[in-house]
Amino acid sequence: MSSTPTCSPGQQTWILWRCEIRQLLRDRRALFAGVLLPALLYPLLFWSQGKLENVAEGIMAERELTMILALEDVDADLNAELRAGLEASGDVTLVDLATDQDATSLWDTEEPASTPGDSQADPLTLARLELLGESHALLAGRRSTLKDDRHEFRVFYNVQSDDSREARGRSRDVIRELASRTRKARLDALPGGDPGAHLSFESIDVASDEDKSGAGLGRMLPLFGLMMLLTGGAFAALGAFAGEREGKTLETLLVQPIPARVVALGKYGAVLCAGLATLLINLISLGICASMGLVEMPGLGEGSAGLPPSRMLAGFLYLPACTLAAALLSLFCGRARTYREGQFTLFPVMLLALLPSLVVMQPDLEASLLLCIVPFAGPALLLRDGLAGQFAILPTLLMFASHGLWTWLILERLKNLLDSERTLSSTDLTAEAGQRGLSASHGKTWAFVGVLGVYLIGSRLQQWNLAWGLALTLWGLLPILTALALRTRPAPTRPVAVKRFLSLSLPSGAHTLGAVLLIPGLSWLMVEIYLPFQSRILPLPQSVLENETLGLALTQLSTPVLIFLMAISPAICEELFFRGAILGSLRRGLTPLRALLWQAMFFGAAHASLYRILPTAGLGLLLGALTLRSASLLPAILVHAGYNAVVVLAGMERISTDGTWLATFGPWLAIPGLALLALPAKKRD
Amino acid sequence: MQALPIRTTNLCKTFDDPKRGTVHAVRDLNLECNEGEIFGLLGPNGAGKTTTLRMLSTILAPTSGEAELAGIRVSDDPLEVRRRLGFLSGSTGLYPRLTAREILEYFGRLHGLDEAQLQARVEELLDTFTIRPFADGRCESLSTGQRQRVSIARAVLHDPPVLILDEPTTGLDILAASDMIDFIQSRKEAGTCVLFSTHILSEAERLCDRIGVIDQGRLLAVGSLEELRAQTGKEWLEDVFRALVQDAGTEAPAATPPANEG
Repeated sequence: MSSTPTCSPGQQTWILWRCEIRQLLRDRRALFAGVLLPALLYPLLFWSQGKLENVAEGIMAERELTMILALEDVDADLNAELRAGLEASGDVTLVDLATDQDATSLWDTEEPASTPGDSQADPLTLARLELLGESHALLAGRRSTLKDDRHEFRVFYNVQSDDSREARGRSRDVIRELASRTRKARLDALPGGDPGAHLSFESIDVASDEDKSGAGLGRMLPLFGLMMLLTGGAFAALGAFAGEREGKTLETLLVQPIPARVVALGKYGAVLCAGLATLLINLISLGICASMGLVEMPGLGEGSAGLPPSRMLAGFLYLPACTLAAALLSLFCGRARTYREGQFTLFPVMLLALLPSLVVMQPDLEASLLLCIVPFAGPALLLRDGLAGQFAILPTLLMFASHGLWTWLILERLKNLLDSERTLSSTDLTAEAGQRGLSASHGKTWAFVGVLGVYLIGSRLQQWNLAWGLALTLWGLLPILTALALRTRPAPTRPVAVKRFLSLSLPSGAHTLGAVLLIPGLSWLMVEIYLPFQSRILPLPQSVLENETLGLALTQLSTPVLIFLMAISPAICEELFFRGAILGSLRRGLTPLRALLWQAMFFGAAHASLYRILPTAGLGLLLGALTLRSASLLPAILVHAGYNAVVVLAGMERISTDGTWLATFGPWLAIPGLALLALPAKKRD
Repeated sequence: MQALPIRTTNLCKTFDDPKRGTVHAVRDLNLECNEGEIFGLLGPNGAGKTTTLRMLSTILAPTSGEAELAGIRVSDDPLEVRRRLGFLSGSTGLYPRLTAREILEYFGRLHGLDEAQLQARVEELLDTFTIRPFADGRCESLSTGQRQRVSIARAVLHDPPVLILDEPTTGLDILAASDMIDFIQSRKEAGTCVLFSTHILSEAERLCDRIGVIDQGRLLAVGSLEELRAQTGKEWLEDVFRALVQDAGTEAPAATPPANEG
């Protein structure tokens, strides 16, 4: 058509943008991640978190408990108050200790001889066990032998029963409450009142509510906002650039009479819009959650004054960061030849982009002119200050100008990339090498995600409740990560089935037996040789040893629960993730030795402790080698479970390794074990 | 005199491959195609067919030499070249989440057709290629043959004087492939110059007015089937092709010694 009407680049950009947005709106994945997930996830997450906490407490508070009281030697008023307190604490039946019982064992100060294993034979423990009988706890009290107006109490309970622990907890709370009341009454009764009240101290914040909530919001909004923008924009960018390349539509687009700049701009616009829309929906969802009191957030919460709309205008200061982030996403997706490749490159890019925003956590860091031109750091600082009511014209102008420049530079690069030859040519020549590289980076990326997930989510969960947190990390977080890693594994020319990828096939009997025979020797090595050695050169600090919450939460668990939680669960879930998904990817991209070393390093790092990194990395190396040797996860799972069980129980002194058969025969058993493992496998992977 | 639809002069393209070093994908290619002519570029995989077509369709920039389309140098005004060009390759994809009609409208708008013109043209194409029955369903649900018809309609949407088809029948079933062959023949009647690449000899034999045999980036021979037969003394195109490639293989090292080095 010789008289073809032309349309301006502006119009063409608009046409392209509209088409991208239309496709995006029809993309269920993108909509789900960008709209539905934030709209539902936050309310659900905060609501269920609150519920869970209440439920655990509620269940125990509703338990019907029986307690025996041995309080005849206690002051009558105190006795009455104590009973009233216990009855008020929940459903509890109080029984007085029968008079025909011999209560002398209660106040025996001599500790029962602690020889684990034969504690049953100890007469003192036996006597106490008999006194406790079927009831959940025995609360004994008497006047102090030191001073007549003081009392001392002892509660006897059984750690293996939930009810018993609850009974112990309730009596402790009641007595603490009584003690503090008595203390206060006595202090007030002193001539001149409480001597501690002579110097009283109170702090009053004079900052306005607006400033306070603004400052609070400013510490989290930059990071949070960027994260949301990146996740939302990532989907759009993957679809618009990498997906288009993979779908073989880019070539068609590039022979249309439109400049590459228009293609880059139109698509970039769609990415930016998708990112901003996600960010907005997330903020609204969070805002609603906060206003409903589901989550406490500075500046949005119920109690505080909230942020006036004028302060919200500071959000515009963050626009340059958004445009830059969208450009980065576009650039890296534009480089990618396939959707998958795009996903792999995007992850580290997103993490790197988030890093500079962390400067807002540094409270005394000012938004200097130099910092303002640092990508992402400048807008983050200015947003923080803006929300807190401070605004500086020069840094702001500089930030806008510099970020405009960064964005422009990236878009120029993107334009050249779309015109380039790299992606259209010689793709198949290096397919094999590319495949290996993809596989290796997939393994490393997901191992990193795993470690990060354990740090960020697992540790939170375990702070909340050690046992439940551990269970959730192992049975919730790790399986999810395993499934995600599996789903995103690079598709090779010869596809690998999930079963083969995760080494889920059954090992040969010889290898299984060989692995099991290693357990005693390995446990002995750890408990009797390595740990004493480490405690000499790198002793555990006293604070860790005395960490009450940590110790208590675990020692309270019964042995079967402990074995399930600390031995069987980690063995299954950690093996599936580290030796299944991660090693599965790594060994398809790296030499066996490198793959082993990498996964062992990540496995050690995931345990997040200087004191455990060496033994866990060593264990990871052995378990990885077992998996590669037997082409199956089962030997690694068995060894992991057995080893963990022995080490944990020995650590709590529930079993002893010293001088038992474990120490005597363990090392010797390892010899036939290794010999069996040296036998050739049924079939090699 | 009107300019030739397609003309290349000493066209060269080299790639820097990290593994193989410098790769000479196309070497000193001289090619001329006339109006209303169907020209087949015949060669084995990796011969440089796709690279040549991509240079002609402005996707790749030539390393040296010139490519002209309808008298316009590809490197001078790629946009103007693209306006006169319909490009289609066997691996061409369609946007899975758009309908056939939306895709045609989208590319029509990118070509700058105004709304009235666009609607008329789209309606016409929907009938010409019998797309109408499935015009409003998303492309992800179309069959290979249906997709192929949408792709063809998209390529000729702006009625280009030059069509470049890169292995247009690759991956098509027998019916879709014969549809494609019919389409190429119909273009000849419309006076369009069609340049297409293939490694399927029967296609070339049936369709082409002239055939260019290409191997290792070099154009070994150009001519009608009869001319090539006369040149090699072979009857079947298969033998003609093999003879040309073998001849080149024995000649090549002496003729261009440094070209092969990485």
